[in-house]
Amino acid sequence: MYTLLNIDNIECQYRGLSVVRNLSFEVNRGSIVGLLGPSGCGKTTVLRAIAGFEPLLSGQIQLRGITASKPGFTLAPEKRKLGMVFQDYALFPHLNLADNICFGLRKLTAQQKQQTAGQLLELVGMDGMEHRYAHELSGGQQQRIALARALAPEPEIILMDEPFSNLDIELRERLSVDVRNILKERGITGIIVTHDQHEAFAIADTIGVMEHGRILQWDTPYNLYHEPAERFVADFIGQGSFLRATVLSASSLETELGIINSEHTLLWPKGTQVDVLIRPDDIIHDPNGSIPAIISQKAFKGAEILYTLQLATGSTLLSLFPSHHNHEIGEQVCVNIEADHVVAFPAK
Amino acid sequence: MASINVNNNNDVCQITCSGEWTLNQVAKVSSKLKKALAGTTKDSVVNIDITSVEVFDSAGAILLLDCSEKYIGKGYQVHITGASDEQQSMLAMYKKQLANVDGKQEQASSCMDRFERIGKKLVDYVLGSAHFFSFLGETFSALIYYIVHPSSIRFKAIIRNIEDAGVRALPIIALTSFLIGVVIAYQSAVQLEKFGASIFIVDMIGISVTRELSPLITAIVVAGRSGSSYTAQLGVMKITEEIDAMRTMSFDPYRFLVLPRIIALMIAMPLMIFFADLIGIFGGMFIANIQLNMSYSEFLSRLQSVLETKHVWVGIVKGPFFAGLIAAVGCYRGFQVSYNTESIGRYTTISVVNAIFLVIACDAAFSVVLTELGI
Repeated sequence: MYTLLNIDNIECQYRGLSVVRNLSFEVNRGSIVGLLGPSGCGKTTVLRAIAGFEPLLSGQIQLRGITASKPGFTLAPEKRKLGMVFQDYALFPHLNLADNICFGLRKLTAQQKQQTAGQLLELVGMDGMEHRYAHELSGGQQQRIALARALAPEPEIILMDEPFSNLDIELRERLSVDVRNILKERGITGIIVTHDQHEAFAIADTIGVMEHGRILQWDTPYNLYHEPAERFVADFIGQGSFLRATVLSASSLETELGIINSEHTLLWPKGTQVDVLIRPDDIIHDPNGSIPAIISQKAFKGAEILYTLQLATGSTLLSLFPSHHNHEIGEQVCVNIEADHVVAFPAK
Repeated sequence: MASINVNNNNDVCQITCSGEWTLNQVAKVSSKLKKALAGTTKDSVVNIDITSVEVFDSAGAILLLDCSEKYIGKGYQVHITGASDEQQSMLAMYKKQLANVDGKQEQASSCMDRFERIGKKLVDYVLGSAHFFSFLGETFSALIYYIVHPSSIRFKAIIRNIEDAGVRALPIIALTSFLIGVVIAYQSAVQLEKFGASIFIVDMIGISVTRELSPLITAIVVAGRSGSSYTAQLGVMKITEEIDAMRTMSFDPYRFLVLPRIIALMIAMPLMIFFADLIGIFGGMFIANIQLNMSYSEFLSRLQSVLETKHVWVGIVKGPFFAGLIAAVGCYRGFQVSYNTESIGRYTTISVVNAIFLVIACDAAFSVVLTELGI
C-alpha cells in the first residue's frame, strides 16, 4: 500500500520543553489512524506538526513522498493540502454556516456550493440551518460544522483534533460511524487525536497510544485491549485491575485466585513476581464459584453493573455483571475467573 | 536510616526511596540521588518512588525537589510517585517556596547578570527585527502574487477596509484637525500681532497645516484607531485558530488578511490627509476672523497667493508611507499574539506605540530629505 504520510523520529518543542520525542509512524492511503493518550501527552502537537504549524527539532515528516518538515524547514500549511478539524472549532464568526462550510471551495459555482453545504449539513444532522451563525449554536453544533467544513473540499488527508469531544454519547457514536464511512467511501486518509478510547476505537483502524510524547504501542484496537504491550497501555485502555502472581512455569501463573494458564510462553524465570491484568469480563458471576468476594463499590452502566470486589486477601477486582444481578454494597458474592489469555507485567 | 535503590532499565530509571528521609539522614543519600540523576539522559524517564519512605520531613522534601526540579527545568522527565496526600501537600508547599527563593536570588544578582540581561534583550530585539523583515518579505511576495494574478485581489475586502478605516474615521479627524488649526491660529495670532505682521498668519497656517500637521495628526489618529484594531482583529483570529483554519484550506493569510488592510489604508490615508488640510485651514481661518478681524475673503485670497501646491502634495505624499507603516505594524503585532487573551491587550498597546514612533521617525526623515532636495 502507498505510504501517504511518514513520520520519522520527530522531536517537537512547546515553550522550550520537548513534548514529543523519537516518534515515528506511517499512514497508508485510505487508512484511519488514531493517536490516543491522556491530556498533555503531546498528541495535539504531533497533529499540528503534521499540519505544518509546529517546526521540528529533529527527524522529518514526509507527505506524499516529499519532505514537508525537517529541522530548519517547514512547508507552509497552506501548501500541504490537508483538512483539519480544530479542537476549538475555529469557525468564521462573520460567515453563516453555509459560507463557513463552503469557505474552502473556491472553484465551485454558487449552486454547487449550496448543494454541498446542504449535503454536509444533513450529514451532521443540522439540515436547514444554512443561514444561522456560529455564535447562535451550541458547542456540539459548532463542532459538527467544523467537521463538515473540513470534509467539504474532500482533502486527501483529514486531521481531526478531538472532533467529537463536545457531543452527547449517542450523537458521538452515530457521527463517528458516519464519518468513518465517508472517509472510507471517498478514500480519505484520516488521523484522529483523542483522549477518549471509545471514540478512537469507533473510527480508527490502527491506534497509537501515547504517553509523555512517545508512542508506547501502535496496534489495532483489539490488540491494544487484549494484548497491551506496556503497563500504561493496559491501565489506560479499558478497565481492569492488577493481581500479584508468581510464575510457576513457562505457561502458568499462580495467583490468589488459583492457577491461570497462559497461551503465550512466559519469558520470566520460575518464581518471578508479576502483576497479572484481570479485565472485568474475565470475572464471571457464579453462585457456585470458588472465589468469595465482598462488593465494595458499584457503578450502574445500563445493561451491566460494574462492581468493585474486595477479596479476602485485600486485593480488589473489577467485574461486570449483567444488570439484573443487582447486589448491594457490602454483600458477599461468589465469582469465578475465566481468563483465556494472560497479560502480565513485572511486579511494581 | 534513609536509603535509595537505583534501577536503570533502558529508558526508564526507577529510583526507589525508603527509610527515614529526615534532616539527620538525608545527607547519606543526597550524593547518591544526585549521581543517579546525573547518570540519566534527556530521553529517559525518571521515576522517583517514595512509597516506602517511612518518615519524611522538610529536609527530605527539599532534597527531592531540589534534585528533581533542576532536571525538570532542563527538560528531563522526572516524576515523583507514590507520595501520600500529606507528602504531596508538603512537596507542593516547598515547591512554591523554592520558586520564591529562586526569584529572590535572581533579584540579588550581581552586575554580570545585568549585562547578561542587556545582552539577552539586544538579541531578542535583533531577532524581533529579523521577524519584522521576514513579515515584510512575506507581504511583499504576496503583493507580487497580486500583481501577477490580478484576479486574486480581494477588492471587496479592500473596499470594506477603506470604509472602516477611512470613511468612519472622518468625524474624529475633522474634530482633531479643526482644533489643531484653532490652536496654531491662536498661538501665532498673539505673537504676530506684536510685530504688526498679522497677515502672515495665513502663511503660518497654510504651510504648517498642509505640510506637517495634518499628515501627522491624521496618522496618529489612524494609528490609535485602525492600527490597534488590526492588531486586535488578527490577534483574536489567531487565538480562535481561524488563521490556522484558513491556512489548512490553502488560504495565504498575507494575501487574504494583511494585504487588503495595508492597501486599503494606503488608499484612504492621502484622502484623509487632504480632508484634514481643508478642516485645519478652516479652523485657522475661523480664529483669524475672530481674533484678528481678518475677513474670510481676505484670508482666502492671501492663501491662494502664498500656499504653493507643492506643500499640499508633500503632505499628501506622506500619507501612503505613514499608512503602510501603521498597517504593517498593526498586522505584524496581530500575528505575534500568543494563545492567551492577555497578550491581545499587550500587543495592541505595543502596536500603537510602535506605529506612532515609526510615523514620527518617517516624518523626520521626510523633513531632512525634502529640505536637502529643496522642496
